Amino acid sequence: MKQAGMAMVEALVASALLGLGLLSVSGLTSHALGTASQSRQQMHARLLAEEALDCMIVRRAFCPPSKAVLRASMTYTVLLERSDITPWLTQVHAEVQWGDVSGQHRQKSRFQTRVSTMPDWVGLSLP
Amino acid sequence: MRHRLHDIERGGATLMMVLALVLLATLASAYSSRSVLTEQLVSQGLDRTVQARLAAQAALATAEAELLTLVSSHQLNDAFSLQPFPCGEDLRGSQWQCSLMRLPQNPSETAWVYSVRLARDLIASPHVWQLRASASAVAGFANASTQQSVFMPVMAKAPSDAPMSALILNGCANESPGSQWQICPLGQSGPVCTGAATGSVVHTHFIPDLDKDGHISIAERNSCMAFSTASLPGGGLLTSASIPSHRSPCNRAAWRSAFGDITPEQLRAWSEAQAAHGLHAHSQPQRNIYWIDSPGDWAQSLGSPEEPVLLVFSQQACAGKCPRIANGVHIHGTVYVDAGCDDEKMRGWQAGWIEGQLVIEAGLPDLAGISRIWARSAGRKAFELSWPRGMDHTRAQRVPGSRKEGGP
Repeated sequence: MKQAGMAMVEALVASALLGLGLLSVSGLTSHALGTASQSRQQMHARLLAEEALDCMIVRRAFCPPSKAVLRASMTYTVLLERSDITPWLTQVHAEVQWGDVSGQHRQKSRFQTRVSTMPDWVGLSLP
Repeated sequence: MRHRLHDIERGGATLMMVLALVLLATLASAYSSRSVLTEQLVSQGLDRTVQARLAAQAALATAEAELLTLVSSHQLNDAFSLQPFPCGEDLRGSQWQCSLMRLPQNPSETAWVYSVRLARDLIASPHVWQLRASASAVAGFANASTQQSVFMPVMAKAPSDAPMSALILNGCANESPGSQWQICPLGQSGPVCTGAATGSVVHTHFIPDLDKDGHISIAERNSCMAFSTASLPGGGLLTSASIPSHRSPCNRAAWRSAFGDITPEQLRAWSEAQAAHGLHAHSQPQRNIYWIDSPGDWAQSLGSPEEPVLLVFSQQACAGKCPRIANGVHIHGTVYVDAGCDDEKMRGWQAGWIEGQLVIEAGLPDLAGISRIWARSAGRKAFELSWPRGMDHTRAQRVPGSRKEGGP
């Protein structure tokens, strides 16, 4: 009877230890997964911001001031703002927002650069 | 007793097993967390790289805008003189001129330090400027650079249809007794001043219409260009416009035919830039543009068949009589004399020995002494810059395909 009680205590202690260990491990794993997901989202945001700014840098005919893009089940909103510093120089900001639409956990990433109005020569040969 | 010992061993083994399992799970989890952490660090590093690249682009755009400001205020010649800077290892040779650009400070942008270097080849392409922009984070975590070449309107395009005559005048010429001039056109082959001429030997933009009949007759042309046969041993045509023109006030027709839209200010600035940069007749490469304001006679041989030069004797040099080129002085290239359509400034002038082309903004009365002018097709090479077809030489424009990210 006494031996059976001891086995029960051992099992309980072992289970508790195992449970605690697995709990902390799962917490760590969950945090890692969250971080990985966040990194991935930031990477998408960065690529979208670069794409928007490159549109301005290479002077495509139309660069949309805002657009929504779906990447890996997440909707990203890209906002492109420009402000003239001089007649020949423009400051450009690209802001990418994603996450909870309620705004509480909304995340955003912001990049900026400048573009000039110096024209490109469109010709046939290089000097 | 044996049973009890056995139970204790079994309990210990269970405990060890559980601890081992927990340890294994922890290790596996820590390993994956480390990978995720590394990935996060890499992602942050990429973020900084992108920010640095965009900051370098911002510096480049700011520099381009500054150049456009200089173009609009006609201060382009100051761009290289403000902050001279040694060129890098990749731009070896004394023809390279480099300078740091002064960029306006942006008070809202304090995270980055911008720097832009200008570079150009003062011999072959003074109109193509390289912009090398770099941005470094103040915190020191990232830096990036980018470069772009731009055409700058510091020189116009030389005309492609300029007359290839050995001598171009804006007036008439005649010889004084005893003069020994030798003017030879471009020939098909063979030694100089022999063989079949390929075109005009002397071209003038102004012949007086003596009989006032509204056109230039052969007699008027021959009377205006009174060269002896000994002076033209290679033959060649004496050409001019067939319709009379006026040259008062001075129409600068000789300049326009030789240099097209290139202005005196542009050539003067180019010459001054070469001199200020330390290029001279014995540097390597040699200086090839000379704007001369001094009224003294010219006594230095310049140029070579491979590296011809341009000599411009300015209006200032011709304030009295135009400077002569001393006997025996050998010039390979083009010589222009700005006599302002005043024949008297050229009376008794001497040309030394010019292999290329002589352009005179007046006539040449009373040719004297010993002079040789041999036409050479490469004589205009010094100032004929390479321009792409259809290029607008009055505007600053980016050279397509010249954009590079990263270092030189």
